[in-house]
Amino acid sequence: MSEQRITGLAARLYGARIYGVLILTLVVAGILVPSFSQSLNLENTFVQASPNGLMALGETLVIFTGCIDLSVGSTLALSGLVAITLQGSLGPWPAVFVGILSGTAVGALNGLIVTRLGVNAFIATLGTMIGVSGVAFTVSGGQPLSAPNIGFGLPINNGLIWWLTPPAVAFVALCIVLHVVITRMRVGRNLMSVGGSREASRRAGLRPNAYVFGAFVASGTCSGLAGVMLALGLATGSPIIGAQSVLPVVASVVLGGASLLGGSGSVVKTMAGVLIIGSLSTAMDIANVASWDQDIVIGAVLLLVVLGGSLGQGAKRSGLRVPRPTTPTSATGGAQGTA
Amino acid sequence: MTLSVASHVPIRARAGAAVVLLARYGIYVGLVLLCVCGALLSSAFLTSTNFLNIGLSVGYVGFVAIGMAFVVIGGSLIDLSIPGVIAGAGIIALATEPSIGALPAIVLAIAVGCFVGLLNGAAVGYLGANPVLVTYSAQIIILGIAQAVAGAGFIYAHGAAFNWLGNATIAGVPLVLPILAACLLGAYVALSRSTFGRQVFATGGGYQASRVAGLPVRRVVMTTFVISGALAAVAGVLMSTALGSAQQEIGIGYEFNAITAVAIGGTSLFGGEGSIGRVLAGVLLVGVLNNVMILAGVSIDSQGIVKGAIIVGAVALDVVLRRVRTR
Repeated sequence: MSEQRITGLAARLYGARIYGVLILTLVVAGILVPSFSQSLNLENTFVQASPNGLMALGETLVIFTGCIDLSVGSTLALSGLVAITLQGSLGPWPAVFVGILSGTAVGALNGLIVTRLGVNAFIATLGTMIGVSGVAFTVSGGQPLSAPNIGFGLPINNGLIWWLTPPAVAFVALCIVLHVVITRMRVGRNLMSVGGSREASRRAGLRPNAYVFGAFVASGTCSGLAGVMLALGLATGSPIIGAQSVLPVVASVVLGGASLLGGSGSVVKTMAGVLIIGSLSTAMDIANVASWDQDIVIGAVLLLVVLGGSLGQGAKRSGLRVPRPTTPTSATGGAQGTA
Repeated sequence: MTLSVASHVPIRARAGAAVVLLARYGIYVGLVLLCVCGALLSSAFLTSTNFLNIGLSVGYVGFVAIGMAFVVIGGSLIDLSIPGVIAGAGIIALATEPSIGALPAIVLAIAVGCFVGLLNGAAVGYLGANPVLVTYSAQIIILGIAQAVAGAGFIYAHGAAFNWLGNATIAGVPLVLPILAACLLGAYVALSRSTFGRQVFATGGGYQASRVAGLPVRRVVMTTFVISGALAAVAGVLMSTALGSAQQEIGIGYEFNAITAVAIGGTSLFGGEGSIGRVLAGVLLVGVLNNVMILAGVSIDSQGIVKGAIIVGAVALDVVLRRVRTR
């Protein structure tokens, strides 16, 4: 009995290890870089990580369904450009609205391609990643665009609640809302079960495609929100701004423990994953660590956590090797079955 | 995927032969159609100079795509370490050549590529770690080391041997293309005509079943990553000798270009299906597409829109054709 309880406790501790990694990261960074522990820098870490954090929350929902969204960075760039370009003609607030909606539209397009055309999510969003980036370059003529109304967006860099800037508030609020939806509400549990087994959830009377579509729309909207806020804060729309974001975003989601197969993970742990990468780069920025040395450190931490996780599972096969999906939705690109 | 649909819905005889052929050879038909478009759009398309241009533009990604195909067919989804391996191999080859000579420098660079693949493969195959994260970590660590060693600047080629290798041609064809052809042939034999190839397909198609059946699944997975690392290193060496210099950024984007070519060619990203012929067709399709867009005067800003649409369209068409075929 007591042995069972200990095993249960160990399992729970093991499940919560990402928070341990986060605390360890903060403590080590605080010791090695004394000025990092000053409250202002912790605040900065959080604020700077918010746009990636918003994208990561949307990405988490997509990954919960067993799909992936590679188009988040391109969508970030496009929505920011739309919000800046339309500022003069529509007025600032409608432009913000249309900018976010452009993200939603990309998400809907991804969702339609994946659920209606039956294209594998990786390929579908690789295509929209390239295509949406092309639209962003066409809209901007390949150049960064300055906002006509610079003063409108700049207050977004100031604290809205205490020191939390609007993007940071959005990040925290969205994390709380999604956590409640996923863990306490039926729609969240259904989303997870669609990711766990599409066939089983279909037989249980769910419509898996509706959840997959919804997750992509949510992801596009999150990227749209992040892109508009980032562009307003910089008073500039840039076609290349999100070009390098997709892998760090996916990495922080998976660092947070979500399986790329779907059906498992937690949005709060995604937040921890985002903050681990964010605090590492802030601490090293303060310590004037060269960017390439920063890459080595972040890569090593990522590798340690991933290898630690797979060793902890008793070197059991994790990752991507599982029974194949059995619905046309997840049909992969162009396999012929001729092998 | 196809297999499960096929098992539920028996293939009826009335599924037209044309559809079957189109589904099986659609990628090749698409390639021919694109070439016809190119020929109609521009008189410069059907010239040997232009075909050489296309070959050169896709040559390096060809090496990477072959290695990526092994990783994908073996069931490990993607090798993201490629930009690191390309840059690392190029820098190592050029930096060590003055002291150890050209051939040892090339061997060393390729050995380092194999070693990176070995580490990736050990982590994925033996420890069961997630390939996306492991190879992404490898990419940023190697790029970090490359830049720490080489700085932000360029490493230049000095020796006459590399100068020759970078500019050598055989009957007017740059050396990189015959080497690529040899690699394609070798990969075809390894994948489709050898025991190892059958093990790769089996492992990617059903990991547990292959393991239970006694296949060395862990070693097979590891070997696919070693092949990918070695071929990326070959691409890195050839690229940097042709450029006469190497730096940290020469390989950026090659991982996505390679996976695009593999997927357009119709290799299942879930593993267990695909062929070298399809990989080559995918590589050529992307190359011809870029070429036709330039000849047709599509602005560089808008080329991405066309490319994205073609990627989605090609794969969607393939999915639809397979549904028709199995209905």
